[in-house]
Amino acid sequence: MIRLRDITRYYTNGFVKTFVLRGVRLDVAEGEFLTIMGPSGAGKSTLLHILGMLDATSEGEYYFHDIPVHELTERRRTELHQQNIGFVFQSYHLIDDLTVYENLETPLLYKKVKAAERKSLVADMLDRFGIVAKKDLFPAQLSGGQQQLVAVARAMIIHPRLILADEPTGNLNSKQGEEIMALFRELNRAGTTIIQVTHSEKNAAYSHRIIHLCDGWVTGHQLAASG
Amino acid sequence: MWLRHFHSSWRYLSRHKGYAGLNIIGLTAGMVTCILISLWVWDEQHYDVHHLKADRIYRATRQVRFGGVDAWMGTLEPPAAAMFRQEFPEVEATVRIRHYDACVVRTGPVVFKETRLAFADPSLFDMFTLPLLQGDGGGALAEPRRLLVSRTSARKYFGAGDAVGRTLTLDGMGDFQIAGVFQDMPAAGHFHFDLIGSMTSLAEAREANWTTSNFYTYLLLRPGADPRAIEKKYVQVMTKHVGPLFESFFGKSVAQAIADGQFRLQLILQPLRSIHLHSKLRYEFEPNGDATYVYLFAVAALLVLGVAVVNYVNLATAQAIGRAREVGIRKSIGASRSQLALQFLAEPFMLSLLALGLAMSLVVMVLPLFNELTGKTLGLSMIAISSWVALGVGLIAVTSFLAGGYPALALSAFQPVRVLKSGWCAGGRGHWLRRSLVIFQFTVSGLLIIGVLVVSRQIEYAQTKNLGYEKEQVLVLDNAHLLGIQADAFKNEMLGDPRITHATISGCLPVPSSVFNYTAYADRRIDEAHAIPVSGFQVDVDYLPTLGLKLVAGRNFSRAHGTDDRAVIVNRALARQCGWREPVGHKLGIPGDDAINRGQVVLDEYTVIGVVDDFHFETLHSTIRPLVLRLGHQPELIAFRFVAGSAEEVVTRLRQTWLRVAPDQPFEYYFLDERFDSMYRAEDKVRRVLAVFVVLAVGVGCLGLMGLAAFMAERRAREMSIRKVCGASAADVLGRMLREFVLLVCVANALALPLAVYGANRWLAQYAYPAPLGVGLFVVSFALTLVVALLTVAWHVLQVARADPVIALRYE
Ligand SMILES: Nc1ncnc2c1ncn2[C@@H]1O[C@H](COP(=O)(O)OP(=O)(O)OP(=O)(O)O)[C@@H](O)[C@H]1O
Ligand SMILES: [Mg+2]
Repeated sequence: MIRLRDITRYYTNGFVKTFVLRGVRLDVAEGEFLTIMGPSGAGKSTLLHILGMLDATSEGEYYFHDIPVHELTERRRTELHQQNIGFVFQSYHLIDDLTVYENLETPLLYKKVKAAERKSLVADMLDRFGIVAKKDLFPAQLSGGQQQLVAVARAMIIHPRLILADEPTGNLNSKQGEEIMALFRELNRAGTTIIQVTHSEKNAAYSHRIIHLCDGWVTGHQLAASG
Repeated sequence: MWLRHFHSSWRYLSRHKGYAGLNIIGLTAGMVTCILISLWVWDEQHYDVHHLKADRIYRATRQVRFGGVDAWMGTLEPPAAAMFRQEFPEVEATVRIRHYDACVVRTGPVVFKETRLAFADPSLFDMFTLPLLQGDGGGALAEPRRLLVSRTSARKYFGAGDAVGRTLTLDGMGDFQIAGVFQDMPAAGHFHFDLIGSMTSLAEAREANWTTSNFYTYLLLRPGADPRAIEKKYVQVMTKHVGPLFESFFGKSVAQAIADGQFRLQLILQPLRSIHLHSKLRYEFEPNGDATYVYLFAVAALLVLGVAVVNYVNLATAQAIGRAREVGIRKSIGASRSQLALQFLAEPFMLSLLALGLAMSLVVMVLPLFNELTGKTLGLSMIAISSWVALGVGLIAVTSFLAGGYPALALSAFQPVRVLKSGWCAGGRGHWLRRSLVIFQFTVSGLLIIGVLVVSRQIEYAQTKNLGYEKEQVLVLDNAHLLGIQADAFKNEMLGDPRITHATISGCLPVPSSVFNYTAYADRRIDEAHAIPVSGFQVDVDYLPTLGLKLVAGRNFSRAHGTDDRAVIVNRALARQCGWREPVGHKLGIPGDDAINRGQVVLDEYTVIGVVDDFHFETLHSTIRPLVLRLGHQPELIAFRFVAGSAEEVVTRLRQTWLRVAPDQPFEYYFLDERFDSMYRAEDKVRRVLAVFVVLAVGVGCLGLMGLAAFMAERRAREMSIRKVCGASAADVLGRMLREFVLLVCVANALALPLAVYGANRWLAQYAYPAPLGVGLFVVSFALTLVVALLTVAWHVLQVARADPVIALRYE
């Protein structure tokens, strides 16, 4: 599904190049549950952003279902993203001005889904995550765990083939964290490919495979407990 | 999707009411201005369009150089119209109009002074579209002593009764029978007559006299005819008709005079519809509009709208920083750039829609006020619904794209990864943009302020300039001819009042009055070099002391000299032009009244007995021209000089005396200085309209500045707190924050300065006596913009400077 070849990402600051990713080579198969681990500043988030097409590579090739993402225009990339990818952030990143319902609906709007279908999709999600009662509340009126639930629901609502999660449980207590991870496992079993970044061995245990990133280098592959 | 964009814009705006409010107020003000000025401009550009044949009608005017003086004259000789019909096959019809701007008209006990009386050829009603309510226009004008009246005048004289068949007496012209009633002429026309008499009633109109020219002459050209061709052939045709006469006057042929550069004659056919804005004759039926002001006001209105748009751009880009996170999130969940741009365009679109709604209701409310300000009768129904729609759509499109375009592009271009990580986006470019936009706003404000000051300065200059006469404490009694032979007795009786020091009977005053213009001949020498175009005043012996005119040589007229009816007093300008060192004693040849009528050259000889210092008998637009004062009995006006502070008593006394002497006649008076001020009414109007623009531009600009200051205060609170912690005083911090604004205002004024100087000089060029442009104007404008800017931002800045540093830092 995903093929990264010699992905390099650096920032130019004056004449100094700061390398964040160096020659990353990575294959992810459809239906996999992958964990990326590594010390702070290793480039994990950067890698995830690149995978999510929110950031561009400096060098190297990125094939998504054999489509060369690194060669696409911004518009085509947005389209590909719209159709296939759901993103979950550590700090939820819900839109403050929109209600839970509207937050869930927004990705569908961008995808130009018809109104009737939108309604049923949102209703499904609210149901499935048990947040029907909260649908008219604004994010500020929810607890962190509830916000993250909404964020996951929002990522899932377009039925993405790939979910990218950047420390999704970082701001949650362990019980909330377990709920989210359980959800991921369930999704993965239903066929969604998941790539998560985490510092927690416990979370990593939910996945099939772990890669270690250090200073921008991929330093190791490891099969996870469940894999 | 659109609906959704509106929905989220609406939510955003209702969460940020201050931001929304500032923008709506600004845009509303800009739109009200644009709508009102559009109406005004539309009206100005649609004069005389109600005449169905308007595109074929031209007014014949001429540019003449004679006696070293250039003049653009709108009137032609009595036989000129017939000549056009005979000699130019392109001319289908002609109409002559003879205008009288003051005539007392009566029927029984009803008396009015009419200023809109004209005599016209029968073709008037064929050529112009002037709907008749009663009677047959052409037929009526074909007969002598017939009169058509407007509906309003018919009511004025006869109330509800029938006007047709009744008789009106025109003072000095006899009785006229009313043969028809026409609809009041629409406001948007370059002439408005209340009474139209038949041209055949005037002896002057029947004569083949080429030495007078009092007839406005309109030509109806055949379809497809080229007015340029007529203009080209004109001199040649005229020479055929007046060549011999010209030679007998000047001793050389027309061609020779032209070749010598002494004489120039150029026909200019003015398209009917362009007369209002583009004609600048010395004498028009009514004051015309001015294309320059149309452009000026249109630009000023757009500038006010521009300032409002700039507000939006400024505030929206400033707000954008707070919205960067939202942009990032939306991108991360699949929003494309164009979808985001549309969303951010929805906001100004909605704001301008709201503003337009508000603006329309405001326009309805302030239109009467605007009409009063501009002296117009504009109405909403004036332009068609489709034009309103176009105007509305145009305003919304322009404002939302201009205002929203940049912010939408800037916002949608945010890199999601960056803004999500840091929460905001480095706004280097936006910062410079905001600065330049604030500079733009203050440049506009500065320009407009200087504009108002320059116009005011010119008006004030006219009012305080030494005019060569004393305009204060002079009361002028109008309609003096109604006193008939009792005028002198009236004057003498009033002189018995101790409050009245001088009184003079005349038709001519240095305010608009019945002045004659003719050509006088220095030393009675009839040739081009000695022909001097002059203005002539008919005065009495008390004229000079009453007006406070200064004699610089010779003596005043005197009753003691029996010969003074052949004496003249001239002004210095005339003496100068005649090349006289010692003017007193020189002879001046003046065409006799009879001579002109017979079309022959008979000069009466006058002797110069005195020279009066130059005084401004016309507006400051023109240089002081040669003037001849003659003794004459022209009892139209009586001017009284009275003792300061006694104006009311003098008026009471005058009224009593008038009622006793002429009980049935209208009593009308004015003060000379007030009438003088009214000569600058056009300038005053410009000043008032510009002042409104200033208030709007400065006000709207300040709104934006206030929003910006609030925003900056918020952003810089932390920096300032750190400085404070490091030991800076509140004053230091204050100065640091204000410095930027002061700098912006300085730059704006520096930009406004050259533009203003250029514009002011262009505008002042129309005056022969422009007010000097002092540095003061610019200092005032600079100080004003600076103070306004500082006051606007002061509150927010103080807030920051005063803030407890710990609080700001803790929450960061
Ligand atoms: N705009 C930028 N300019 C320069 N360097 C940057 C920029 N953004 C990120 N970096 C650097 O890239 C490196 C990797 O950042 P990244 O966010 O990918 O780390 P991470 O592995 O996710 O760390 P954490 O576990 O703390 O989230 C960091 O050292 C960071 O300093
Ligand atoms: Mg990270």
